[in-house]
Amino acid sequence: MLSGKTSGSEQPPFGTGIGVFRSCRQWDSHEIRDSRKREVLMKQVALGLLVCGLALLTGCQKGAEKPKLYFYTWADYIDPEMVKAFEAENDCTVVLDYFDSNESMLAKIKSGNTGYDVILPSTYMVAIMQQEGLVQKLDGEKIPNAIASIDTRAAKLVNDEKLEYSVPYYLGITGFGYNKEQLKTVPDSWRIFEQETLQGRMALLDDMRETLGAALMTLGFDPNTTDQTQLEAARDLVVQWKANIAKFGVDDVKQGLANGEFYVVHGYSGDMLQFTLDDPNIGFAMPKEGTLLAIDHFVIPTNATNPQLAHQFINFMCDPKNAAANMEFTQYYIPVSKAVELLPDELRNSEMFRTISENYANAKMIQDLGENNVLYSRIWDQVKAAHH
Amino acid sequence: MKPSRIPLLTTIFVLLFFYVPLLLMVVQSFQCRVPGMDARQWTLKWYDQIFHDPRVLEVSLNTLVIGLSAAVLSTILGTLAALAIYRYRSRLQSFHAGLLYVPLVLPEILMGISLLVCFSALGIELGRGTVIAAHVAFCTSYVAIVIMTSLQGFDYTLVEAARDLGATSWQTNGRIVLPLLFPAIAAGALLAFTLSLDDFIVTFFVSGKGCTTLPVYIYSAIKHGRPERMCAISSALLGVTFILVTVSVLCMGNKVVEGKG
Amino acid sequence: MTFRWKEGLLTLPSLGMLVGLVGVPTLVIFITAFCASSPTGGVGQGWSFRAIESLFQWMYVPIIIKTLLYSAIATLLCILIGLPVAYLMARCQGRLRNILVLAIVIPFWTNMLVHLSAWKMVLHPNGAFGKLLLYLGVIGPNDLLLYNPQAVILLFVYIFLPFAIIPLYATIEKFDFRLLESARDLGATSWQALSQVFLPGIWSGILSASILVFVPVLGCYVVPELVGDANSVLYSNKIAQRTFQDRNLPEAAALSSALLVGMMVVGLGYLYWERAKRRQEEGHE
Repeated sequence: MLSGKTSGSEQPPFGTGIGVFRSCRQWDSHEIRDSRKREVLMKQVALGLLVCGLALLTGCQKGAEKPKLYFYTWADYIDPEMVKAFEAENDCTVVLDYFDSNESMLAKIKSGNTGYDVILPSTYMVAIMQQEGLVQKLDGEKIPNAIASIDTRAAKLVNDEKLEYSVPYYLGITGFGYNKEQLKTVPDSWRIFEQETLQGRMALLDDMRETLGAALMTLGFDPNTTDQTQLEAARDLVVQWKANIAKFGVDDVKQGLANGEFYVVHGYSGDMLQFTLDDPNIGFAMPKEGTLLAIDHFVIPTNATNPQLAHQFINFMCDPKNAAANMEFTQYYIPVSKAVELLPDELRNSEMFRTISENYANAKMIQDLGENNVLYSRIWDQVKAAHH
Repeated sequence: MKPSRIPLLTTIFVLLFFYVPLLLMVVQSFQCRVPGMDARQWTLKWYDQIFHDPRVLEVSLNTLVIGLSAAVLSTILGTLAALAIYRYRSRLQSFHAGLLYVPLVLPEILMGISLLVCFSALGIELGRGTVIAAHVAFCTSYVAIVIMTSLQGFDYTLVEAARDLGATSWQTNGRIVLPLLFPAIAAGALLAFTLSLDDFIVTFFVSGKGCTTLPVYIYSAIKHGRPERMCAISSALLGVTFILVTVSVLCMGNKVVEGKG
Repeated sequence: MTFRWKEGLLTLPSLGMLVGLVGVPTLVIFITAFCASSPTGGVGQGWSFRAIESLFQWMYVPIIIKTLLYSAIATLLCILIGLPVAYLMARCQGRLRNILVLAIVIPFWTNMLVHLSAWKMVLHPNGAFGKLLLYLGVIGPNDLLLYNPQAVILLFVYIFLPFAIIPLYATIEKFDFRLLESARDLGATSWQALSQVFLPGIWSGILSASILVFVPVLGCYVVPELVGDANSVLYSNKIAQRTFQDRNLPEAAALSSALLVGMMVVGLGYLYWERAKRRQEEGHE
C-alpha cells in the first residue's frame, strides 16, 4: 500500500519553466544523492532568479539622473515621436501611464499621493477637479505657445478664456458613423435609431449623458436639462431606440462598424475618422438636431512633482508643428488653426474635419450637474431596466 | 474499465475552443486594411511599430515581473494556508478559511478602490510593491482552494506511517506532504500567474506612476488605440511564452528519461 | 502549548496577509456603504442610510435573477466540459500530462479583451462560422451571433473553463482509480461506477470548481458589457455603472456589501447543512 502510493508520487512534476518550482524536486531523495543533477537544478534556479533580477533592474534603473515627467493619459493618444522629441529637447524622460475613464482617473488622483505632472481629462472632469482643488493654476508666461495659438473659441466654450486652469487640446463631437453600402441616403437625424429595417445592426453609446443628451436634443431640449418631464420624455425615446439597437456599447463598438457588424454606430468623431479615411464605405454624419462636443484638456495637478517641466511639455505640444503631428496621429481636431494648415491635404480637406472646425463653436457641451447627476442616473436605470 | 472516448474527444474540442480564436488573433496581427478598398493585405507594420516603441517592452516586462512575484508569493502563502486549515480544526482556522473565500466575492472595482484608500491612509507609496501585494491578496485564495481540494483526497495514513517511523513533522511535510501535493501546488501557481497577468481593475487603482501593466494599457487603448496593435503585442508575447515553455518542457523531458535510466 | 505555537506559525503568514489586504478593505467597503455620497465622486460628509435604502428597489430583482441564472448555467457547462478534460489530464503520465496542463492554461496568459475581440471575429456574421450556420438555416441573413445572452454565456464558459479544470484535475489526480476497477469487478456498470464511486469520490473538487467559476462570474462585468445585448445588465454591470457613470461610491459599496452578505449566508447555510448531515450519519451508525 505504502510503496504503491509513493511510486505514484514520483511521477515527474511538470515543467512550468518557472525555475522556483523545480527546487521542490529536491525533496526527492534520489535526486539529492545525484549531485550532478542537483547541480543542473541549482543552475536552473539561479538562471531563473537572474532573469527575474535583470527584469527588475531594467524596470527600475533607467534615467535615474535625468528629470522625469509623469504624464497620465489615454493610451495611443499622443504621437510617440513627439514624446521622443520633447525628451530630446529637454533632456528628460517622459513616463506615460494610462487610464481608461475620467472617473477612475479621478478616484486615483483624489487618493492624493500620485505625483503626476500632466493629466489629460475631459471638460466636465476638469471642472470637478478644479472644484476639488486638484489642479493648479497655470502660469501663462510659461506656455506662450498655448496662449498664442489655442483658438479663443475653444477657450470660451470651456469658460476658461485666459487658459488659467487648463489648455483645451483634443476636440471631438459625437455623431454616428454609418455604412454607406447599407444606407443609401446620408442619415441626418438621431431618429435613424428608430428605423426598423436596421434593427439589430445599430449601437448606441453606453454613456448616460451622451445617449440621453442625444435624445434630449432630438426632442428640442437642452442636453443639460434637469427638468423631470423632459428627462422622462427622453427616456421614452431612448427606450424606443433600445428596441432597435444591438447593444449599448462601450468604446469598442466602433470596431463593429469597420468590420461590417454594425451599420450605424453612435460615437466620437476622431475614432470614426480613422475608419472613414481607411474605408470609403464608412461615413460619419452630424445629426441636424445637434451634437455634443467633447474636449480633452491638459491640466497640471496640485501635487505635481515637476510643474516647471509640465509647463514646458504643454507648451511644446501646443507648438503648431507638434500639434499637427498629434492631429495626424490621433485624427482628433486640435483648436490650433496654424497647425491645421500644416496637415496633409487628405486629412485637412476631409469633409468631417472641415465640418468640425467650422461648427464646433456652436456645439453643446456636457456640463457636470453636481447633485442633479442623480436625476440622470435614475432615468438611465429605468432605460436599462425597460423591457419590450 | 473499458476506456471511453469521451475524455479524449472533449479535450480535443476544448483545445480547439481555446486555440482557434488565438489563431485568428495572430492572423489579424499580420493584416491591415488596404487604404481606400474593402480588402486586407499582409503586413508587418504593427510589429514594426511595437518593436520600435520601448514602452511596449517596458510595460510587458513590468507585467511579467509582477505576475511571477505574485505567483511565487501567493503559492507559498496559499500552500501554508491550505496546510494550516487542513491540519488544525479550530475557531481560528474557520475564520481563516472564511476569509480565504472573501476575495472571490469582492467585486474587483471596490476591492481596488478600498485597497487604494488603505494604502494612501497608511502613507504607503504606490508602486510595483503595492500591485504585487494586491495580486497576492486575491491569488492566494485560488491557490489555497485548489490545494485544499487536493488535500481532501489525501491519504493521511502515509503521514502517520512516516511519523511512526520517527520522522519529525518538518521531515514529513518536506518529504511526503509537499511532493504528494506537488501537482496541485504547481497547478495553483499556474492559476495565480494567469490571474495576475489578466488583472486590470485592481492593478489600475493600486499601481503607482511609471508602473503601467499590459492589461491597464490594453483597456485604455480601447478608446483611441488600434486593435491590430493589441493583437500584435499579444501575439508576440504568446510566441515568446510558447518558445520558453517548449524549451523547458523539452529539458524536463530529457531529465525524466535520465532519471529512469 | 507547543501545538498552538506550531499552528500559529503555520497560520500567521497567510492569515496576516488576508487580514491586512482582504479583511481591512472589506471593512472599508462596508463602512463606505453607510457614508453620504458626494456629487464629485468618492464619499461625502457624514453618515447616511440612503445607499442602503437604494438597494430596496424592484429594479434589482430581475437583475439578480438573471445574474444567478447566467452564473449557474456557465458553472454547469464548465463542470460538464471540464470533468472529462481533467480526467484525461490526470490519467496521462509524465510529459504528456505537463503539456496538457500547460496547453489548457497558456491561452489565458493573453488579455481577456484580446480574447473577446478574437471571438468577435469567430462569431462575425460574415465569418466562416456565420456562413455555415446561415447555410444550414440555423440563423437568418440578418441575425448576429454576438450580442445576445448565449454569447455572454459562451464567453463566460470560455474564460472560466480553466478555473474549473484545474481544481478538478487536482482532485482526480488524487483519486484512487483502483476503486473503480473494484467496482467494475463487483459487477457495477460503467455508469454506476461513475455515478456511485467516481463522482462522490471527487465531490470536493466539483464543489471547489463550482465556487471558482460561479462566484467570479458574478463579478465579471466586462463580458456582458462587450458581447451582451441592450438588456444584458448583470449585477456586476450595475456596480460598475454606480462607480464610473453615477460616481456614487456608497451605492456601489452597498451593492457589493449585499453581494458579500448574500454569499456569506449561502456559505454558512451550506456548512450548517453539511454538519447536520454528518451528525445524522453518525447518529445512524
